[in-house]
Amino acid sequence: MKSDMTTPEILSALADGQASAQDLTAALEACGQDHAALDCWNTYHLIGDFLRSPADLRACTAEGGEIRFVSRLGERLAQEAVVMAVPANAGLSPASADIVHHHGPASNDGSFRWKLLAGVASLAAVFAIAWNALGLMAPASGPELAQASPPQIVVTSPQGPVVRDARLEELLAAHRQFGAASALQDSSGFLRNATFEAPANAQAGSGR
Amino acid sequence: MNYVAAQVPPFTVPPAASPAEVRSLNDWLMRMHQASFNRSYVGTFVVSAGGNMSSAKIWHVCEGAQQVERVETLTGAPRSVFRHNDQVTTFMPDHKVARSEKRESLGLFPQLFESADSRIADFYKFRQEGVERVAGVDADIIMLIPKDQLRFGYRVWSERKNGLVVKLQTLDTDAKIIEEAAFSELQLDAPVSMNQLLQMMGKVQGYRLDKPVLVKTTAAAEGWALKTPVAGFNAISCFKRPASAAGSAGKGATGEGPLQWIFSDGLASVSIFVEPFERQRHVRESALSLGATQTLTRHLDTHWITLVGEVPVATLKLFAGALEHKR
Repeated sequence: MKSDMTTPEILSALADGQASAQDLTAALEACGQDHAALDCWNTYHLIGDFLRSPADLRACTAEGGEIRFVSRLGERLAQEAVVMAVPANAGLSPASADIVHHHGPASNDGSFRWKLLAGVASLAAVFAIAWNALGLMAPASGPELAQASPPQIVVTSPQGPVVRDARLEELLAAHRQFGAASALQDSSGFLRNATFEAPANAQAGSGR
Repeated sequence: MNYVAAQVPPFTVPPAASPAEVRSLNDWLMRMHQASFNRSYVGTFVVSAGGNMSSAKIWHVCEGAQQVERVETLTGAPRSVFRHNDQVTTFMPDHKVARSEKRESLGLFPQLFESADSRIADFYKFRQEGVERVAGVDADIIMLIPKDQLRFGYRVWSERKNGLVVKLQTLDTDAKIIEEAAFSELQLDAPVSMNQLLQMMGKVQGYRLDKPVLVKTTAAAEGWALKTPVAGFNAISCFKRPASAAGSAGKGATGEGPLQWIFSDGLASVSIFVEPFERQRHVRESALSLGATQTLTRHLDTHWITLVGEVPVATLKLFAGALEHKR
């Protein structure tokens, strides 16, 4: 058993999947001997479950019949914060958070990071879609991003991130209107452009 | 290309039986052009560009000199585009806006073509690549190969009997396909009622009717010129476009829309748009690629230049570099 860790610390590590074999032995010992330790263990799992639950479920839980539980949890968390506010790496300020897991990344950290990454990834996807959608289709039919107050959108393209605005869409449409200045386009070009373009979409979108 | 048969007027070429090899580039283009004027059909058209795929349903009818076409988009925002000869009305049901405009270039073709055939042949070679079935019809494959790096190539599938273009690929300077447009399904000589289409085209009640008025001008009158011409590209027309809400990005202060100067080499076209430079909007010069369509922006003194064309970006750069303001 590592002498430099308190029981709650070891339990926290265990709940986070960070515990060593030594820690596990110590934790099992502690829980077998001490009801407080078992409580602590259960509480960490509750916290973990709560934090990992979908946000809307959390909100619903907070508003619904579980208020007592939530407030109790809050109290316990406050206690825990006190109990555990002995930062292993002393540089970090625990004050800003109710939940302080000083031993390695907290159980929620991982999922928060994951969400952040997911957010970035989906944003990138949105931009990629936006590029395709905006490329020649209506920004109006694109994601809400396209309608944000400055009519600009950053899109990923083979040329790297670029800013496009409603004006460029409009100029593209204007060009396509004359895309038939071609022997080939005359017959098939109208179809191509009509199929492809969203004429004056930008104009229609923001012109109201 | 210097076959004796090239001298034969295009319309005396007997349809199916004639050996296709004897047609000149001129014959092929005229045939394709003509086919769009004397066939009625219903079909589904698919365009694939820049990783994006769009499709639309087409109704096309011809009666004498009258041509009416209806295009309903099947992807993206719903759009109904009706064309009666060079008059085009676009319905945007999601915005309750109908835009009515004239497609000048549609009437431009024969003259462009008659005067430009030799020019097209100066910049493109052509060769036949056999026969293939597209959307249920047999089609001749015609390859148009650019003679320089300033334009894209095209592979055209032309229906054997009458020449209707049923598929069109645009190829970049490495002969890679960058855009493809084709009928996925085509019913030739389908019964389509012209009157019915015209009635639908006229039903604009409940829509805000938008009629952009283009003012014809010349580049010289606006003080613009190209120091050196870009090989093969001739100026076709020049317009002052109306200022639109989106154009002025909500500011609406400038009151004047961009100048549009249009060039064509007979197969590809380039638009040069000129508008006043606005520090807030015109943040960064950029070059974008959307299938066959390339765009390039440039800051030129007090102006912001946007170039758009179905040409390699290098060609747009030549235009941008040659553009000068004389006042």
